[in-house]
Amino acid sequence: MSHQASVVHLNVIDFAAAVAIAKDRSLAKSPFVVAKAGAARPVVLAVSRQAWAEGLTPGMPVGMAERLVRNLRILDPDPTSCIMANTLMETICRRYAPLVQNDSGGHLYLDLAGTSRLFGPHMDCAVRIRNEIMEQVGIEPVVALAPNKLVSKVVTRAIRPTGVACVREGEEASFLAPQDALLLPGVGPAMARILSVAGLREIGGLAALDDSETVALFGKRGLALRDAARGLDNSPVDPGGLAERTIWRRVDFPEPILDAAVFHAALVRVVEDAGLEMRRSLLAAGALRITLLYADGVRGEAQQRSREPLLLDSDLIATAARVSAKALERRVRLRALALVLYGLTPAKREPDLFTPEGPDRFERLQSAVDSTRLRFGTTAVTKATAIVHA
Amino acid sequence: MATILVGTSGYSYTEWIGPVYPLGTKPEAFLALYAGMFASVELNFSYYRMPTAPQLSHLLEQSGPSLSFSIKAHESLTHTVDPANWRTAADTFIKAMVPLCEAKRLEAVLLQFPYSFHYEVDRRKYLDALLKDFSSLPLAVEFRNAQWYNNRVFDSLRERGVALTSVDLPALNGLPPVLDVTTSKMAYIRLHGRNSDTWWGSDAAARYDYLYSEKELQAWVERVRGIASEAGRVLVYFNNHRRGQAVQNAKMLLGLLKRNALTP
Repeated sequence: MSHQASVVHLNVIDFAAAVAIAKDRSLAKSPFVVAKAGAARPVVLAVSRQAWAEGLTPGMPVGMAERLVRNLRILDPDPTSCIMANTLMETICRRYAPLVQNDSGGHLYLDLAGTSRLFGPHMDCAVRIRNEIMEQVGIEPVVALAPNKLVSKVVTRAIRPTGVACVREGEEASFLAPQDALLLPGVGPAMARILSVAGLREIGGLAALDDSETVALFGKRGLALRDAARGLDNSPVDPGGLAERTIWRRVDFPEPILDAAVFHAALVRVVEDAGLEMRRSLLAAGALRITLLYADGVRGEAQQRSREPLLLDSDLIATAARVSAKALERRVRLRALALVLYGLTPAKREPDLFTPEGPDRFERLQSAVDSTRLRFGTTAVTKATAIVHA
Repeated sequence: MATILVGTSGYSYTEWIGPVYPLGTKPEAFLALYAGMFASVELNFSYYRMPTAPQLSHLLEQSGPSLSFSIKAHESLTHTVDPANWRTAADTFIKAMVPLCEAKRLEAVLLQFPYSFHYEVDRRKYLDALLKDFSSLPLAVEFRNAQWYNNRVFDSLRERGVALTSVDLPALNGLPPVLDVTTSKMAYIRLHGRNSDTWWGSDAAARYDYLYSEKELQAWVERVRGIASEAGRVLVYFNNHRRGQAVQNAKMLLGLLKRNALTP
């Protein structure tokens, strides 16, 4: 039985800039960037099409962008308008798709399976949704229809900044093969360096590796990446979307504890474990919650939203330590500790977006630590504080 | 609003006498009658026979004052390329375009490459050289092999301002995917029919024997709406020429575009 491709990815390129143009059409013909004013070393968060044509890219220091384009207009981020636009896009999608995954930032996945009798062929339906978004929201997403989320994502990256495309069931690998390897989700700066050294420029080169070659080049994580290069992806369209998704870890102490060092060791371990899962899903956390269960059955809880998405263990651990300090209000022994990462958003791969002060070194370190943990287990590499008292 | 022109691939089919042209129409009258129905035509005789400037001047005279032309490149430039002599053929073809260019009635030169034109280093170098030679003319490329549908090709065509043709074909493995990517100010669309039973291993007449339904063309209206938001000029040609079905569908599409306020 042949299956019809039914997963649609809608991807608004440089969402913040697209929303700004939707609000003020006069911006459409001028180069501008979106960047946070007042930051110590501001970086470009989004670029308009005109600015992109001038060579500006997200992640670039604002100073450099201003040197490249004279009289460059710099707009403040407008998160309220972005949220409204994203919500309106989701509302339009829900009229047609039974399953909608809203990853925010102009990224939505839809599963149109079972809707063709109502709305016609999936491609026609996807185009209709795109047109309604153009008319009602004023922005134009790239649209890809494919048999799974991963392939649909690569397609929107391949044809950006606008357009529609459909990859038929059974043609996933052949469509991916000639695309740039850098388009594959999961290929960040560290992986890109290995691919470059290995001479693997196209996704097809990665897909052709056998198991032993893959492990030799990338470690065990490479097998998942190699399978992705073959267009394999079983992840469903998650209707909850990122707004409802959380990453949760809990540790139950064998004996109730009161020692701060032991508590900190456990905290570091759960943060590292949750952080690894988060980064594997290419996500960053907007908030963190700590729940404590005391020996007498009382619960303590504290949480904190972060101004910048939390991506690296160093940031997560620092935030978790602050939140724990707020939650630890009683001098009573603890039975358990739970951590929740929420407010998840797709992680931007451009390092400057997160830690402008020398981010490369930390990202490389994090990437190496993650690879080691995935290959040898989560306890293989950890902070000294977590080992001494574990 | 973008200008959208709709027409057919070719106009000179004797089997159109009856379904399209009145009975008894002489071939030399075809083009004038065609110009009364559509604003643009895609010439495809030029694929089989190298066109000449006098020939195209004559067509201009026959067609009246406003019909515009797209023209398919000769097979020696796309299908039967001789590495030693293709530049001569290119030069001859480009010189033949002078009357259409001077009359400002050339919409595009279509470079249609066959399935056997694979995404290989030699072919890429050839295409690069060919596009350079033709850079003075508005160009559209059509690939029948899906390997060409990748991000580097899209970016390269954007840099050169060359349109990537959107094609409507049967949904068969190996054929190009459904894909609308605007790579120049002009967009080029070709509808070949969806006759999957006769696509491989039959003659052209059977391959292009297909009549689009109104529902199928309404879906195309929605795609054209998106393309028109990026391109200033959109050219749509029907190649399902058997028994005049291309004409029937082109008229149907024009009606739908008008109903959807995409054309005046």
